[in-house]
Amino acid sequence: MQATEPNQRIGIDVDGFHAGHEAVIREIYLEHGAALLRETCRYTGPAEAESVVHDVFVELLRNRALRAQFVGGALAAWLREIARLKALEHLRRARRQPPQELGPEAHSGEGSLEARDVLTRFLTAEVPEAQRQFFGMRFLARQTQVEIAAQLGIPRSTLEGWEHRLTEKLRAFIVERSP
Amino acid sequence: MIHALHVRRIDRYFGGTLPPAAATAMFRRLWSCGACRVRYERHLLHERVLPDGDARQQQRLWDSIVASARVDAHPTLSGQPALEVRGRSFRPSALLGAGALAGLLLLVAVGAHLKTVSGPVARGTNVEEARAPSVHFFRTVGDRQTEPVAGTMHEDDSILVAYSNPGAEFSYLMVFAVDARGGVHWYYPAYEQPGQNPLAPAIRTRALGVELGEEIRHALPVGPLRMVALFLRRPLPVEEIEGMVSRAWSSHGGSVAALDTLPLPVADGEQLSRLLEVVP
Repeated sequence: MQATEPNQRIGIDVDGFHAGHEAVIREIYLEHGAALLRETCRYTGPAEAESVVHDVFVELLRNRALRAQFVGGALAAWLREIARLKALEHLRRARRQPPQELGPEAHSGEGSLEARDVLTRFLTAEVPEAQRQFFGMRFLARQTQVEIAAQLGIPRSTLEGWEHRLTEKLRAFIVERSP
Repeated sequence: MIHALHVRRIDRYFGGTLPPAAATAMFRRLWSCGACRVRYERHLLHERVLPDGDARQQQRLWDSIVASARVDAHPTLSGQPALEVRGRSFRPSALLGAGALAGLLLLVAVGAHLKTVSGPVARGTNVEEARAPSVHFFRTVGDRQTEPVAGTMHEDDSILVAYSNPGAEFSYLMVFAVDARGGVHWYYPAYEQPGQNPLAPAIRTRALGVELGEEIRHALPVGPLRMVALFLRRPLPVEEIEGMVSRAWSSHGGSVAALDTLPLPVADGEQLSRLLEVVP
């Protein structure tokens, strides 16, 4: 079983990890951070999950004794357990009940549906007519600016400006005006 | 008003302008504030819909982790890592320094205003050896400055609290004010909705000049105000403290000036209090 754990695949620098090297811990974050967020969302909401992952890695960077507890093996499972304990501790302190039954691990598909919905509403309500094709290609189809510039025959610098302004309008649409 | 400060802090975090120490406090706040979680999750959604959203999220969180780790790793005057350093909405690093320094200075300067087990700290006493805890209040002046609260404060002042807990016997702290009508205003922990009944939060031991991170503004009535800090061995709930205040208020003739102690079992904690005057 352990041979399938991600840390086994990438072969972390255990000595560097124990020494608290930021680069090593960053590699671990890049490898495990997203999965840890999804896993923590089984106990909490996405905002608190970020708080937990933030706590876990701050602790890994700061706490030599915690790092020393990892002696090899299933790093992902070890991180999950730290995150789980931190989540439960936060819930207890906030006098909130942990879930009776853990939900399934959140899949990016659910988030994608929500994202697509809000993008579609924004496109209809806020995007100027001249920029709609660009918006669809860039934000919905996730094409690169270079690809879009070539297809539409519009300078990339123009697209850059559009994207910047659309991003700001999108922030206001989601953060300030959502019900 | 306070909620607006928390919202602004979340906005500044996602805008990349929130100081690291304040980010730690912001993350803690998410656990007890539903409106803060909603705001945070809207920012997450905005981030997710961007073409480079995943990379942005990953980088933002890592940057925050590294910055927080560096802030928290700064040694305090007690020489220990700042395990519980909490941020505030502006200039946390400057205030942290000010708070720590003030922690040293006010142990002596404010000692006469505070009731402590060990009594006033004698001039020249090594503060590491003076094991009585103390609490320090700062008011905001303008946008970016703070100053220690002397005998008066304004009714709309934002107050920031710092504490020194040089010993190891007290692990929890509560800070509140009792106004001239017997009303209780909570600074620490936050007590925003009846029925929540939060417990005293844990604090650091063997530490001096630790700021509590969030500037807090209450609508205080003009007149005398008693600021009370309780250093505790066990976490008490706010409603239990409010019951004690109510009983003490009655037994002291409804006078905030006379209300210098609560009927708190000595073994459970140490009471510090200070009488201030709230002015328009």
